[in-house]
Amino acid sequence: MPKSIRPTEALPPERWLEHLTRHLPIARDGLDREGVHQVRVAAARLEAYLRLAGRRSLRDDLRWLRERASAVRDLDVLLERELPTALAEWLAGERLVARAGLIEALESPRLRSLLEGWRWVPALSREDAAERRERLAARAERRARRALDPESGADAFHAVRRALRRLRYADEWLGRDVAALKALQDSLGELNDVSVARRFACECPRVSELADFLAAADRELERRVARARLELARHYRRKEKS
Amino acid sequence: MELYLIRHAEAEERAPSGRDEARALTPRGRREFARAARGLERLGVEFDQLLHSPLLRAMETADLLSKLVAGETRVASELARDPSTELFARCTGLRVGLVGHEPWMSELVAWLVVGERAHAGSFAFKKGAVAKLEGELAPGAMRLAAFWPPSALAELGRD
Repeated sequence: MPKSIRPTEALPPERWLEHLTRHLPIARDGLDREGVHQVRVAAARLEAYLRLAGRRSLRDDLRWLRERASAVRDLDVLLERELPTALAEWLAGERLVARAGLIEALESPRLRSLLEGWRWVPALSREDAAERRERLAARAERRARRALDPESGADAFHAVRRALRRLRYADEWLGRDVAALKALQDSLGELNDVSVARRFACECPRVSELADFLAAADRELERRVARARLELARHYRRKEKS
Repeated sequence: MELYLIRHAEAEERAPSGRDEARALTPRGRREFARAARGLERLGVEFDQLLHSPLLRAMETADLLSKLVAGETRVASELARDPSTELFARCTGLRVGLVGHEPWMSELVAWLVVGERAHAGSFAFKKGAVAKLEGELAPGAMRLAAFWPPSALAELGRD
């Protein structure tokens, strides 16, 4: 809840709220896969908005919607890659399950309630948002330091990726330059894509046919972790200098 | 199950937009209900799920209860209209909190405890009041275990 009751510049949520409502029917009909992706990105930005406003309500509802969209999107991205037949066939079935879960969410009373609740969320004050943004920056830095430990593995980088995503969206709401954060996030996103592929391969009922794929994914993961460590260190060195 | 019915805290008389749904809590409403939430915490109250109406004053009241939520907080439009079995379908978990409005909170208690909404007048909620019901979530199948006025909870939550 905003601490300040003094008049201050307001940052309304309309842009991403409209983005979300515009893409819900596109995600629902499923003809354009971009619809699901855009629902996910809009929900994540609106979650960041509530975080900046210090509001707890509606955040779990947005996370629920984002996770339902992510379940489909992750599989869409993965299925665009060249995959062993055993994995691709299983993933196609998993995608149908994820898609059914998303459609259920899009037709649910919970989504209708969420959109109704958003109508009454007051505009965020820039002053309060800027203060909370600093906390997100501090958290991202703590996570980054942990990931930079040579003993840290992919999980530590996923925690950084999530923290940087929140920070980037916070900066977007505040109208700040996010180019450096976006570049770093993209690199960590590639690491995440490999992790997701590996996780699905491990869960595949025909995992015994995927030994070569898993070995390649492990090598790729190691390379990506090393690269992410370098880029993260470079990002924070530049930040310290500036 | 344990069902906690909570009426939103004190809200402003009129929102800047003039819309009733957009009325926010007053600074006093926030302060007093933050104490009441601490009082509930001291009573050992915890929610597996907290449902709140989509109206701003209910969302802001739910925000003040966030420390008591072990599971999810969800918005439910069913809490901003006459009580219905659709609302029951939204409740999951053994300890559920519902943040809503009058006269529907009173009607809900009457319906669940007595089996008839017509007795709502016997269960009037002040702003920030909390009722605890126990039993099966069905009309006439619950027992009123406690009914805390906001002042008692705020006193309990005082530093």
